[in-house]
Amino acid sequence: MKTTAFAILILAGAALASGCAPQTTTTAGDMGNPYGTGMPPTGMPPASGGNPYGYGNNPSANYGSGNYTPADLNNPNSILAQRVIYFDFDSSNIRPEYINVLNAHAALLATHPHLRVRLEGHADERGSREYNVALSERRGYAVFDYLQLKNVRANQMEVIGYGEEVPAVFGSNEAAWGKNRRVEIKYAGE
Amino acid sequence: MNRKALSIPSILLSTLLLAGGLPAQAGVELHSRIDVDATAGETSIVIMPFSPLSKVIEADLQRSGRFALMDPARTGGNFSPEALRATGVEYAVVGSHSGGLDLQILNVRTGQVAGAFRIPPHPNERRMAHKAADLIFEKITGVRGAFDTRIAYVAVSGPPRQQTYQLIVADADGFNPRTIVSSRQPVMAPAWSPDAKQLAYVSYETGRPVVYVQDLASGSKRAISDPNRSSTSPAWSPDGSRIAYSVSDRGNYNIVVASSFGGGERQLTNTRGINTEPQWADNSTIVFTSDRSGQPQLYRINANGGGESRLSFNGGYNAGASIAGNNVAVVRQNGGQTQIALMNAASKEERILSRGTQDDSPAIAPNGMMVLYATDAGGRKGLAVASDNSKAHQSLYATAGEVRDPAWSPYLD
Repeated sequence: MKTTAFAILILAGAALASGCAPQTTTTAGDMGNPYGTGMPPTGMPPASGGNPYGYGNNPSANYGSGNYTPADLNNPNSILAQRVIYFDFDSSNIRPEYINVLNAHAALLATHPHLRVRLEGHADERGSREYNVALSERRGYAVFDYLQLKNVRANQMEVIGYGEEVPAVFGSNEAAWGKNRRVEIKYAGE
Repeated sequence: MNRKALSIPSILLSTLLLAGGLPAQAGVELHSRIDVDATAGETSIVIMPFSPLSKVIEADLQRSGRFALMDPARTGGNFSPEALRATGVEYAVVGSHSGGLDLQILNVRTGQVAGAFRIPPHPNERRMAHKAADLIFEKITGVRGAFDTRIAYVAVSGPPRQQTYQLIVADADGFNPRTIVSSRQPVMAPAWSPDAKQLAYVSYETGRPVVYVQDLASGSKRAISDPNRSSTSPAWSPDGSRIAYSVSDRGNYNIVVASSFGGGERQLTNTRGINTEPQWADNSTIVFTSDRSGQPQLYRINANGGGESRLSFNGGYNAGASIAGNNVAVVRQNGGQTQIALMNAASKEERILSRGTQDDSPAIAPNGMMVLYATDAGGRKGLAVASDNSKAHQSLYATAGEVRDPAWSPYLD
């Protein structure tokens, strides 16, 4: 198990270093691959605080240092307070601005293997309702795959696709749709 | 007959009806509004006011888009053959209501009786009217009527994240709603058994989507799909022996068929990506949605596996098929709008039926001549029924909350 995870990490590092996006295990379809094409290190927005590779250039925010504890989940100032990431229309690509958030959750989960999360994928209201269940689950697995690359164990995570059944906000406009295309990270016991 | 008025291609007739049911037991009450566009060229008919049920028959025929309903008042209260003939109406329905219904369809021009029926008494009196409408429809159009049927739908109320989901069954015109499931977790994708006595649906009550079958009379239910895997989109085979649904394997969805009693699950499709929304075209053919070409399109497969081929080519997004004979209603996405298209599998003709911009979940009547779907038309999320010729549109909506995800029952006994 440990060797496997290590091997995956090496591969992921190699892919990122060479500027190639690792492929998702789900088919691309209209959702593309979850890591986005062309997301090399230079493509990361420096302004978003910290860098996406866990070096942690903002010690006060504890980005990517891996020194998180479950107590940080209750700290509204911790990056771990961010439990929702949003997606573009018809896409399961993880947007660069959420890499820090996911890295922080990955660091906590990887160092606390007793923690369990549900990755709840959601779609906006557009398109066929039942088809959207599958689309939203694909978003959940995009996050699952990313966290697994960051050493989170598969058995710590469960993915559920909710389709368009549980909107975060009501409304038939781009603002509402953007808030509803999301994956919510829910820790067990919350 | 006021041909001039009838030929105006605008809303000719709007009726507001309050769909009841017992308030205590009721599901969410639906309000109904029927808009009939131009019905010039359709069969003109008058239903005599022999009973309060006359209005029910009238509304049924109206929403079929096949009839121009004449107001009985236009005869001036004189229902003699001569007075009727003077109005130009083609057919008149006369009758009596004492216990059951006794009806005669008169061909006004020839003076002949075109048909005579007796509908036996029924505790739900509105069903007697729907049965009468079915017989009138069949006598005049040659196609079996589907007014005496039922619908299922999901009503959702409450603020975001605190919503309550109710699965409701009602008469096809929205009356007599009865809640059969109420949950704080999503309930979706109802599907009728061919005998209309059971409903398959998806519930998230255990935290993931699982297919259940519930008996409508007893309320007892059973899980059909593996409770440890996400499953969605149940559909009964026409012979009632099997249920097709879609099962997730790490986000890849494939079509399976299982016994309608649960067990015997057999996987049909085996592609990565999404294969979902199975519907039975007949006992040996399943139509489903797949994104294997990139965007969702309709495909067919033999119910025992094999023989896969693509069915839809027109439009970049076709999903959520509902099938009755050669008539196939689908969700069509185009330029940011999602609408309902009705395709004829034999003639390849197509027509956009919906009037909203984010419409989905088509459910076709068992005779293929009306389509029920979820719509945002009018700024409110409700249901709508469109006639296959798009001449009549009925909206069904709740005063509070949303109604959606409809399913249309097969013919009742």
